[in-house]
Amino acid sequence: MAELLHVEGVSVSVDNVAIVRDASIEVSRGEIAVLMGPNGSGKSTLLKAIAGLPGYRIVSGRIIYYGNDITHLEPWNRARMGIALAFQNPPKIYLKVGNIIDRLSKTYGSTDLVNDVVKELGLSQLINRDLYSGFSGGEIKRVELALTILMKPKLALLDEPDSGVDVDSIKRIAMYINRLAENNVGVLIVTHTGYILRYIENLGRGYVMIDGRIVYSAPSYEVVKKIMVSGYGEFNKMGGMS
Amino acid sequence: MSITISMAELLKKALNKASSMGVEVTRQGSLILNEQTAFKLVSKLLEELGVIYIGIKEAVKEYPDLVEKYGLKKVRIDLREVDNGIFIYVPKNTKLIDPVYNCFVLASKGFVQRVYNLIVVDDGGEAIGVTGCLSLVHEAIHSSHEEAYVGMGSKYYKIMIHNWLPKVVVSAIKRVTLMSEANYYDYYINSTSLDRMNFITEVFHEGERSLSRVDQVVIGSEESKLRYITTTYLSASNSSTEIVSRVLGVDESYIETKSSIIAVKPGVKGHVECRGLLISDRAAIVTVPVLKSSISDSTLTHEASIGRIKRDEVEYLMARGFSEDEAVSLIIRGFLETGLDKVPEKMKPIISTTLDRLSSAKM
Repeated sequence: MAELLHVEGVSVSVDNVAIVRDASIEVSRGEIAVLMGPNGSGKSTLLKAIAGLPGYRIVSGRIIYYGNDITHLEPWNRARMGIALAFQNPPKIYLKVGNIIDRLSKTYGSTDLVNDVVKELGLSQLINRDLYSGFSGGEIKRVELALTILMKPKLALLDEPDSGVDVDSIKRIAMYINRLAENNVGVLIVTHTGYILRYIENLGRGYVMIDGRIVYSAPSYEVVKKIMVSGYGEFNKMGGMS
Repeated sequence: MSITISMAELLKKALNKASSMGVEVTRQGSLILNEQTAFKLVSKLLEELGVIYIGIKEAVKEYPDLVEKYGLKKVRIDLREVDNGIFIYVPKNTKLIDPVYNCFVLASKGFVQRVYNLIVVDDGGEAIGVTGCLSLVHEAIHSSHEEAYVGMGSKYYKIMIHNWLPKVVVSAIKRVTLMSEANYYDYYINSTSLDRMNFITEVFHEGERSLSRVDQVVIGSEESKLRYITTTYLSASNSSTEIVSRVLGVDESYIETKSSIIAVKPGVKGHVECRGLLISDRAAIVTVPVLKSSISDSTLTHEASIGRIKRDEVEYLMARGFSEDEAVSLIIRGFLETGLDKVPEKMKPIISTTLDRLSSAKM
């Protein structure tokens, strides 16, 4: 598989506090890679840094995407280049779900996908509501995934797509993630429970982050197996930040 | 050397500005420059349907019975002191599909434009009115009084768009009477800076099961001082109302909205929703929702909030591919939206286009 994303020894600071240190990750086209770790280990921070969000300052290392260094690109440029981030806890915004769907689908030329995405992810009842105001966990995840799909990504960064979600929604979300990979989209899933991974068909590389460092990498099924057996305790011993 | 602009040039300028606001008087309607009716076009259909559409001063002479029956009931003014205004009478069971556009224009520095409009939608009738008020000059005054009577089972939809200039002073009073099962929808937008605005809207539910909704979208800019007082009197049983306001505080503007619902009869319902968004540290918004009832069998609710655009909201949209300016515009556009589901199809493009223009303007 052709390499899509290469995070090379990246360290990230937020408000001058080091959160991620010397992290390296690779994702290829069509691969579903997994980044696991306990709460607060820095997984979301790394995803936001890859997406280029202001406030997530890359103090060292590089982000290479399609062979180009995008470390200092603005977030909207990265998004337009095909990097789409589905947030774990997106903010509430005075913006109707229908309006953002409309804007995104026109911006990314994905209007032909709208009807199917809305129907299959069960968004019809949410179209006239403001983004995430009073939404359940499952509704948030389904809308986030829908918006990500409508951006026609080449790299989808999914932050905890299974947290606070019922089983039926997890299955639906997983189905779409599988479909993304079938369409040659590289996917990087961040999850601390790994629940969604049982519905993912072809898992790629797996990484474990502890205290801001990647402490273990292996095929995802091995990573999951280790965590299922002994939790994150064993990885803690491998050394986090000191 | 003084340059005198001809009436024709002024009219052209006014028509262009009105058109840019979505007030298409050249389709069907009138434009009043200062005190003069400078343009008027009445479709044949209106005449065939028996709709009366004339200046208020002509109406006093030609239709004294109608003016006396419906006029000056909720407004106290001396018609001799009025410069101009419109009179629209929609006969019983007559439904107007196309909007009637009216535009009031301040065209001379120092001019005080005094307006009285009377709109009657008789029983079973339906009408859409689009009014634009604009100024071509600084330092002028617009003072308007408007009465609307919406008969039994009638529907009256009203859009009003204000487009003023700094140093203009505006006083507007609008009073609407609703009979049984009448339906009134009022949508107001002001996005321009002016010196002072005092706008009073009162809706009187005098017939049972009447419905009203008043939407106000106000953007205060520069040093504008804007005051909107809206009151709905639920004086007939099972009537209901909604007052929805969106206020955006820009520059050093001061905007005050007071939205009141007064429940008088049983079985009534009312909801006030006031939202304010501050774009500038020097702007101020005061929003006061008031609910008053001595009736146990009434349901009155309100929600009010004032906030700022948060950094994480902008960053979220930036991660979706929008530049910072685009993200802010999107949030403002979303904020200004009050929901168009109850609006007639013909009104939606006017409102949407206006909101698009406002939200993409440099804030």
